[in-house]
Amino acid sequence: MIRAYELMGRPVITVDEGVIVGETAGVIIDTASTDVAALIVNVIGRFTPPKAVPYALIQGIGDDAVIIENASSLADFGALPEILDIGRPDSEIRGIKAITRTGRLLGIVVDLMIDLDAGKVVAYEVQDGADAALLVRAEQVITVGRQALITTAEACAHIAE
Amino acid sequence: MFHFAMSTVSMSVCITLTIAVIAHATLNYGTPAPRPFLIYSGAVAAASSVTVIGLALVARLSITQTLMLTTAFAVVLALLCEYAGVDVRVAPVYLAARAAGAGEKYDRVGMVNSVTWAPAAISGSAPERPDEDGDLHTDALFDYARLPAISYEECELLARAQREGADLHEVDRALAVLMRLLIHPTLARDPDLTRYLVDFQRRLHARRAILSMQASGQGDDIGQSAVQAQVQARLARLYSSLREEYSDD
Repeated sequence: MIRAYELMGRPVITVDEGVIVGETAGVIIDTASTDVAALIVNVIGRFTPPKAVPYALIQGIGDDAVIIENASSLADFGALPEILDIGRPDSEIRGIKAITRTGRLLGIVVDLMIDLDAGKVVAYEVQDGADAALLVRAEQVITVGRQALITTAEACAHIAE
Repeated sequence: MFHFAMSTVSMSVCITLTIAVIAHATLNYGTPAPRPFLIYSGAVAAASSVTVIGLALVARLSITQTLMLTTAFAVVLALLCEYAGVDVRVAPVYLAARAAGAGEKYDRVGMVNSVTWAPAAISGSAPERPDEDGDLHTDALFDYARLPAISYEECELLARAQREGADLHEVDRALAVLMRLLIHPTLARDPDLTRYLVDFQRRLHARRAILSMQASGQGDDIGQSAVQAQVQARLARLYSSLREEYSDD
């Protein structure tokens, strides 16, 4: 399990040509299934917009690098608009409010915990204003909306514990 | 003069950031804004403004000359960063990410994409192996045409792109279709289909690399059979190394 924020800044290398094509800049999450749909890559070239690599074309994510199939695995967002229909960048999920179904504010989502083997978000890290942070499990999340993350009432009980 | 200098710096940063945001929104509609780009633009604007203000004070330049010099300086600095490989944009984000993660005790286990590599690499099952002529069996592809996400025309394009004689344009279009299929939420959950599509993508990319080499004039003497042989050799090397890796495990 790894935090989404820790993935940023790792060099992205192709297994086919052994070329560094860019650096990781985030992930795109399928908010319906919590699957990681793609990785966002800042490609080499200062003024080139970021690109997306479908998760299926990622061979490995290590501490030092991310290995992808080949240079053709990088898709322009413009050429692949569907990717923003099915998912949302992690940067847009960070900062939204986490609220239980019963209307209790849990805090602000500060990060996402990702299971790299399964390619899924397993938990959301929520900061409640104080120093304490709690992890809301993905199965406790009902909706990941544009302005709020709605959880079950049990997520609130988890805090009480 | 101090107030003039400070207001010019802040104004220059604001103008640069505004232009950067508008340009990005216009050129890349729907794309998430790259935050490092904004940091980079702001840093370049601030640095160039401060330097130029210094020059303006020494050389007693007019406001117009100062602003023109600021712009020119920003462009020169950006070009220098571009060609000298100084990645100012990513550094702050990278450092912030490292700092945020440094004190945590989460597992940082490396991941291998078991869906697309391991099973086929170990067992050598059908979709991972090229047939005798190096092509993928397209019967399976057309079986998937019944799915709503894949149209029959797209299947035809994919089948055409992997045949001998396909041009670079067709291969590029086929690769674009494959990318769309690989991010499709329904299709991505089918491991067999995903493995099949990933293998297809590898094969098409290998073909594309050779076709683009021919197109650029580097491989004029390469005939179709030689192209085919190169595609096969490249893929065989890839599969062979993967099989060894997994058998070691």
